[in-house]
Amino acid sequence: MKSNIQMKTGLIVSIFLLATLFPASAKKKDYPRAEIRVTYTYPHKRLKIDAKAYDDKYQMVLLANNDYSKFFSPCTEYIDSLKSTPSGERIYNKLMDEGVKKAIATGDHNAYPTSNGSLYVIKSSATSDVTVYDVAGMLEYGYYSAPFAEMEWEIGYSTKTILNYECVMAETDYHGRHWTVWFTPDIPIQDGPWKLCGLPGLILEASENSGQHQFIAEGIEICDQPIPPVYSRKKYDKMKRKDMLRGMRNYLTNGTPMVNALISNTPSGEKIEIKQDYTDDDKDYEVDFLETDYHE
Amino acid sequence: MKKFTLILILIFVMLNCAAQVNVTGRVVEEATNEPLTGASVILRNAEGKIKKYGTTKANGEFEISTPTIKGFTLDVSMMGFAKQTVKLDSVQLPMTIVMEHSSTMLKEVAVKADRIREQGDTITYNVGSFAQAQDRSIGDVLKRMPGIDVSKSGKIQYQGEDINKFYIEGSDLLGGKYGIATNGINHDDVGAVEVMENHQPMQVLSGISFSDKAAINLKLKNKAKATWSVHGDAGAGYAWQPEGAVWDGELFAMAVMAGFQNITTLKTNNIGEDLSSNSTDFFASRRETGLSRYVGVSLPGVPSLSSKRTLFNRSVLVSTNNLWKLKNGEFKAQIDYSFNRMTAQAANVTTYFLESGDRVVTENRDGRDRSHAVSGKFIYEVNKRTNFINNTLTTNIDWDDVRLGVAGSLPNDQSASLPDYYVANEFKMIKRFKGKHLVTFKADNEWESLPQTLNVSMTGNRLRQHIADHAFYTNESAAYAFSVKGITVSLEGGVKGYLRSLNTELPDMPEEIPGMTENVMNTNYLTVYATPKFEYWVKRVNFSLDAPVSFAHYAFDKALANRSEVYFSPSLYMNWKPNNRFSFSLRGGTGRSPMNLNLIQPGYIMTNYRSFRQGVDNFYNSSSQRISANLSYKHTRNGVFANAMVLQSWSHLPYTMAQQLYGDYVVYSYTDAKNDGRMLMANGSIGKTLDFMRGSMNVNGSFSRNESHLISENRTINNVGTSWSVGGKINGMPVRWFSFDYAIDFSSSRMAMNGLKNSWLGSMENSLLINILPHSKWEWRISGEHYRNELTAGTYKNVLMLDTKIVFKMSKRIELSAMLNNILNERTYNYTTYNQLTSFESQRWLRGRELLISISLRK
Repeated sequence: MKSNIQMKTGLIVSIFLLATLFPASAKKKDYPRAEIRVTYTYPHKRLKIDAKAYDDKYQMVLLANNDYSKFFSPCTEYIDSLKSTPSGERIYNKLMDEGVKKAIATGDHNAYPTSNGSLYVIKSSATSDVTVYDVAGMLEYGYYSAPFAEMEWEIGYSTKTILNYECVMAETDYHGRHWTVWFTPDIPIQDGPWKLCGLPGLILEASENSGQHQFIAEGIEICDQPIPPVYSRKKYDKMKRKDMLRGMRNYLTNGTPMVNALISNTPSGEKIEIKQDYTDDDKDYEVDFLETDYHE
Repeated sequence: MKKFTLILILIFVMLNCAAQVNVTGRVVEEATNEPLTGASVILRNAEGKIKKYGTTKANGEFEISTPTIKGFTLDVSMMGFAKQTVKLDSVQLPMTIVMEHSSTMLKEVAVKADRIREQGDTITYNVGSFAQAQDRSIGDVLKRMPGIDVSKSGKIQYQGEDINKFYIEGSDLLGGKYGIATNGINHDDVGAVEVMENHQPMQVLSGISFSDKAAINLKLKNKAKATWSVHGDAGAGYAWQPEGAVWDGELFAMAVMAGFQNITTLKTNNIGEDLSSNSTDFFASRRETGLSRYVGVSLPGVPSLSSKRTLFNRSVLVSTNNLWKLKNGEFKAQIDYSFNRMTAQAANVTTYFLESGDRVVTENRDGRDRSHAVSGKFIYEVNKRTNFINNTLTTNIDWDDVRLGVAGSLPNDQSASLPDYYVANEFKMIKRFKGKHLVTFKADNEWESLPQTLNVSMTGNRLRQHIADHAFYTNESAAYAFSVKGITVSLEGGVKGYLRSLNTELPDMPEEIPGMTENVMNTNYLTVYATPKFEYWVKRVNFSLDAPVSFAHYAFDKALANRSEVYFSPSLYMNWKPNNRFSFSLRGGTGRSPMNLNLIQPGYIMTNYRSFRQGVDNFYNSSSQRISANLSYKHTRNGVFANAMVLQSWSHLPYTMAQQLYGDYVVYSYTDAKNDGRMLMANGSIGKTLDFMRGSMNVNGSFSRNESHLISENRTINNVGTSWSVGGKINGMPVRWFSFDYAIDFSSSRMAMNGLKNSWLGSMENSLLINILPHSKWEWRISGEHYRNELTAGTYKNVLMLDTKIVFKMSKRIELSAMLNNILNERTYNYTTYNQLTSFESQRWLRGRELLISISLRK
């Protein structure tokens, strides 16, 4: 019994020593390396916490190799990477302070760093599943994993050229939305934007039929960069997919009162208008997430 | 029995199994023979369509079952390896596929994005994918975008409807004077053109009031943002007709910053380029002062030829437009000055074949028009979701001096001085509270003075017509609206006041014409009005009903008896969008309205050396009905845009224009006779991108029929004008060194009077531009038009005009060019038409050959 404890202690010490000796190199080596980097624009409609629909558009990146990929916003990842260490947090706070001051002075709201959503999608063929990290409400973060097999594709006859690649159309019904995608067998990576994958080639364009969400490839590069995991993974709780979506929806439609409850007194003493009256047939409420089956 | 069923099932299952082929195999790496995991395996049928697919497992094996493999091929690919294709007809299963290492080469990404993209109500056109080498401004590229139409005047339409806003980076700097931007901004500075369908410019009305109009937004490239972009052209040369020096210059500066925008431009030329498209306000609503010129002296024109071939001008335009974003709103100041000097000449010879010998009447017209215009517009606007405030102060001063000399059988000289002074202030405030309630206040005040003087000297006689015409208009209104579940009900109430005085005098009058030559008139009114409006807007259907009612009191200061009138003119609009592609709308209206007060004019006014005008001496009301339908279709992925419109309207006037000849003079007046008019109009257009050559095409057609009445020499004449036109254009760049633009237009029209039909007269115009890029620094352009105009039935006049241009791009910033216009030096447009009793010979002048050497600089 005693020896067992000693052995364990020894093991821990040696691991600790190893880790301190080769901190960076050891860690980096563990990361899978991407073979390809695809930049997508993501024009979409979304609700903000005033429960109004806005048009938004930003870049998302897919870093992928044959059996592992990560889909994320580089802008969000940069902020999350800063916030994951104390020194980074200081840099972030400084950037925010200066940026907000500049924004007030010039009206340029791009002056301070803002995240483009909080979505990360990790696909791994070793486990044949996809893991999604996202916000799940006010100050709530969640993640869940689901198998690839959920997506059943129907390959069509239509073809079109995107970024000089001949693409084939395929369709699927997935979690409440009907998706039409264009993939190219010329890039043999069975991946794509968001959770979309499992076709014999990279998906270069995807749109769902309500027109609220669209992913369009803008650039493809061969690369050899490591794919780091999601930063601050501890802040994410394992949750059920539909619960995450319900939580977020509830936050968006009833968010203003929730925020007001938190900051009942603004520093300037300004009173914040509370919007509570909403009806489900409000036009803006047709705008929904990438998955809509959580209403069921 | 059970056993038998079981056996049957078994046989069926076995048969079924036999019908399936299991395509199996193993994928390994060359040299090492190690299995490859995750390789993509695709089974294609004879036509190349993907039938099944899979990936290799950890041991490199794959298995795909398929009903048949006849003519099938199997593709195996993986990043880092060359793709292998195996014909399945002659292969033994399971197979082993050896993959050779090869770096996966990515294709050069030349086209970065789709040419047209659609997201919600926004359609984004990628400017780079529509621009051709010969294009300079963003306006040149807009013309190539299917769905967007830029008319000759510079006005932009989307799917057949005028746009309602023109934004640059989301800011409305220029208002309706967007011609400055479309003619000035270099297309290379613009990344994308966004069309926002159903654009509601007032945020306070978003979700409450439907808009059927679209707006355009220019998305600039980063290099053109937060900096001053400046470019300039200077060109000089020689013209063969009018003989002498020619010039063409432009300076354009633009700043698009977070808190400030500016566009300043200076343009001048005498090479026939009309600058009015740069200063026209395409959003300007009709001036409520309602004045219009009585005097009409205009220069002779050349029919059916493009204005750049026939305009003899000297033009200058200076315009500065500023926008400051303030804490709560924005302030805009737009100041323009323009000068335009135009000259024109025409010679006509009419020969009458008479028994007593031929009689020849000649007429040589020679005219000059000099106009100056200064305008200033100052706007303060707050555009938020809860409130909207706009105050617009407009001032316009124009001077227009026209001189027209006629030599020949009836020699005379006319000179007219036609200044115009106009000041207006419009204030509008809308407040939205509790999300559903809207309160609006409006106050418009306008003042205008339009004095006109016409001097005519003819065979020793001098005639002088002077007109003083002033008007003041005021309109104050308040409105309340509330919206619930897609239904908006509003009521606007207000008061309008109008004071106008007209004084005209013509001291000497030709003896032939009987009547009064003085007018002293006041046409004033006070109107109280209410406009209830009902709007229903749910999902894909919009329905709105307007029912304005007004009570008006007209006072004519004893010249006429005062009148009180009630007007009601309801209108209905319906729009249905069954999906993103189709939109269908229907519009209809009926109503009674007061006559144009300008027509109340009992005394004669001389409008030019040959014509006099007399209005009515009573007050009339007219009524009209109209109905129209629009259909539009778009399929952005295929780049197809189409629209069609049909409109029918009826008008009923209690007075009719009468034309009477007194000697050589024509007198226009009005008589108490019913005049029912009818108009039918239809047009349609289809546009499509041609991606294989980075081009686009458009086909359009129109038809119109107009019926009206006129009394000439005491006889009622029923006039029916019918016309139709078809046109098409295509452009593209099939190979890297060659691009082209081609357009063809054919139109034909016919007049019928009292059932007597003239023959159809058609005209056709073909224009072609070819641009050749033999080298990255050189461009050679050759362009021209051919006109075929039908003068009388079966007689055609053909004109061919050819131009060429050579451009040398020294660097990204400096460009040199040499241009030779009208190479063939066509100087006149002559034609002769005959009938049994007369021959008519006409001569007009064209711009002759012209050489222009230019330098263009860009910052």
